[in-house]
Amino acid sequence: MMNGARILVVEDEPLIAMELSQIIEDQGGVVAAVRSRHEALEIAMTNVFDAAILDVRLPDGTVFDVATHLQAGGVPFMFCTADSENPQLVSAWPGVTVVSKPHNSNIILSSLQKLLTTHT
Amino acid sequence: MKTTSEVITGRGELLRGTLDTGKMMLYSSDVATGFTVRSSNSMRILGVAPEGTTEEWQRILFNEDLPYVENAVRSLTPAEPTFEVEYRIRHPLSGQVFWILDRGEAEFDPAGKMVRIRGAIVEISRRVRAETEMRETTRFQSIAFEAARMGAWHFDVWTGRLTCSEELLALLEMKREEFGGTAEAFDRVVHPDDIEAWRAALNASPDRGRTVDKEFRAILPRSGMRWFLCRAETQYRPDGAVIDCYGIIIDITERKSAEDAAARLAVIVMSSDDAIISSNRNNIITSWNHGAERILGYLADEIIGQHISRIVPNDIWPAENEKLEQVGHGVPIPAYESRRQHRDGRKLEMSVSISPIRNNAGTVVGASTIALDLTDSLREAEIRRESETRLRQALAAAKAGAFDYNFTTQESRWSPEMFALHGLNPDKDAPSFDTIMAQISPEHELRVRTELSSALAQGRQFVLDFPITRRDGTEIWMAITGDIQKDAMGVATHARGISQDISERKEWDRRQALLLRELSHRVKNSMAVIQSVTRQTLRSTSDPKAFAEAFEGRIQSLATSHSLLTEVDWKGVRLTDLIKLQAGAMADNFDKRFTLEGQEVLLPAETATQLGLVLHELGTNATKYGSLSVQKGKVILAWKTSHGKLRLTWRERGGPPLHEPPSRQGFGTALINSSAISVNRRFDPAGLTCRLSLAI
Repeated sequence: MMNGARILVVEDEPLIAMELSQIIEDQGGVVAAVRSRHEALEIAMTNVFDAAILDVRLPDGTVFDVATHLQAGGVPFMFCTADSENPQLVSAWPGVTVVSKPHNSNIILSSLQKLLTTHT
Repeated sequence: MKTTSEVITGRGELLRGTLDTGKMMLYSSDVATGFTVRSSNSMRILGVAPEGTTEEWQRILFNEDLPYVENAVRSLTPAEPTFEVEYRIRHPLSGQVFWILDRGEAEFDPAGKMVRIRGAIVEISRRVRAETEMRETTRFQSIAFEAARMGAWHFDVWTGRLTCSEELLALLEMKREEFGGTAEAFDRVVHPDDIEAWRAALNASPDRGRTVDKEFRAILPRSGMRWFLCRAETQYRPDGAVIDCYGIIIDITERKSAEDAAARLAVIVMSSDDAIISSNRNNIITSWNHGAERILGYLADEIIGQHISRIVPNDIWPAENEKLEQVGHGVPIPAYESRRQHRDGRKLEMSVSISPIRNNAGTVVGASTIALDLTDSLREAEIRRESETRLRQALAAAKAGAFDYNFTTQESRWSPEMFALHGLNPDKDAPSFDTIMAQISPEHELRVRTELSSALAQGRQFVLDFPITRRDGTEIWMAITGDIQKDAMGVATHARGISQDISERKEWDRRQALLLRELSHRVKNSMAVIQSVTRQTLRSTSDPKAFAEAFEGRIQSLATSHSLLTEVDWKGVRLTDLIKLQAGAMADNFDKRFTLEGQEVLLPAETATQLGLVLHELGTNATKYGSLSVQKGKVILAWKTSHGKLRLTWRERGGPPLHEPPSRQGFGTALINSSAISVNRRFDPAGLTCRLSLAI
């Protein structure tokens, strides 16, 4: 149970964003979903989040600078990507959870739960 | 008047004077007693007393000559009482040997018995000596004639008679009895073509020179063809008349064949393609063959007599001079590569060998230089270089370098391209495997070393590829392809091969991998989308039949957008096409049911997929519940673009009256809400109006 935890979802595919939002909201989380790197940076700077789910490849670039920004702000995050073999992902973000698409909702939720509990 | 005694004394004096002058001694021996009376000069001339015995005479007579003398005396008869013998005696006092001529007469009694011998003895040593010398001379002459294969002849011009020595007959292998004493006798053996020459030699005439030499051939019964020289000397009287003609014949076959051999050799030398030059001890050129003329450009006439340095380039003359000095000491110089200077100044590459020339006494009198024009072999080298160049070009085109490692010397040889590939300098950097390993990226080093040593151990081909960082910082991928050469014993001798820059191939490989990853990404993404569609659809319906219908429709919508995008190579989809295929997919008559108002718009890929899905949902809902669910219902679609935005209005008319928004939020609504399309839906009894706004 997420009890109002604020979750940032960065996902350019509306259907997937919709689905991720729904499963999180079903668990009591509050979702802000954005579709681009640009929007993500903007919202991350102006809002406080408890955790984030990041797609890697976005229409306007990769999500890595968003991840850097979140890391600096102490916001835990995980990657949810179909590009799980991206070498940069593997080498530059050790220890960060990577969920591979097509994803299992339960794994998304449990990983998210883990992020929230570790950081509280 | 002289007295008798005076006359006797006078005669005695005369006799004595005569005897003394002629060194003659008179004697008379009694055969029975041996008592001998000699003239008074006997002691002076022969060292014997005027009165003595026969025995006493026999004692001084040479033992070897005694039997001859005794035999001569014994053979005297009353009919043949005189004798004349020459024999030697030894002077009893001085020991000197004299040749004497003993000439006398025996006196016989009526019974025929020899009683007395009287005679005179003359000393003839000088004559005998002269005769002996003469004999010796003749004998030596004969030996000399024979040794020289020489014979003498004499031609009597007046009688036409030819006489010749034994040696001459032997030379011409002719018996004396076959020789008739005329020049014609030789016609039998003289070569038919040379008879005239032979006759001419003999035929002395007043107007020819003293000495005439003629060569002729003779066909001999035993020796076959021989060459002879006939030398004739003619003696003339002061008035010019011929006195005498004589001469010799010499067998010159050996000299002739030597001459022939020399002549042949000379022809070979002269016609040789190689330059053959001789020079004397002062380095003056003494002979110059055609090859030398051809190769070095000087004619024999203009170069013979010149110093040999004329044909040697200045810079190497000191070294060449040293070689000539060595040759002067009898040391031959085997072939070496050098240069000679052409008449026109060109320097020619030549293989030169120099040998000493010796006279008959073995003294070095000059040098013979044989110079081979290396132009042909240079041409071959040029061809080799050309093919090497082509190979180089091929290697360069393939961005390849060649290497050759010798296991025995442990040395590596690299082609210039190999150095270039590694960004190294052939003059400064040593070619070796370690040189390569110094450039290899560290994470590849162990693998490459392992692969190579296993290939070497097994003696098989190897291909090593790895990235290197060159000295200038550039990075390339290398591929080394090599093979091991073995000797007859199977021992590895060389590792040879090529090294290539495979950076382009590696880049292509990388792109290929990227594409594959991209494909994988898209496939997985699509699956994730389908997964979401599935879950979303499941959320809004629990009825399997309704689920299947809705799910299929949505998948169909995604596929349709995908098809449209593929058709235009993902560049953009026309809005009207999207409306027709997505919203109008279920309408029975699109043109009657749909009214489209707006200019054609090209939609980008992501927008097209999303808008397609939204239009699909709107169309589906209209067909199920809205204006399209009744016969006369219509959908009016109107759009405008401004400021990068597309504003599109979906208006349903003629459908069943609407009373309230649907109680449950369906998939379409959720989708519309979550997408970048902002939606304003309004329900009124006349029908649904939906305003969409999206960035394009």
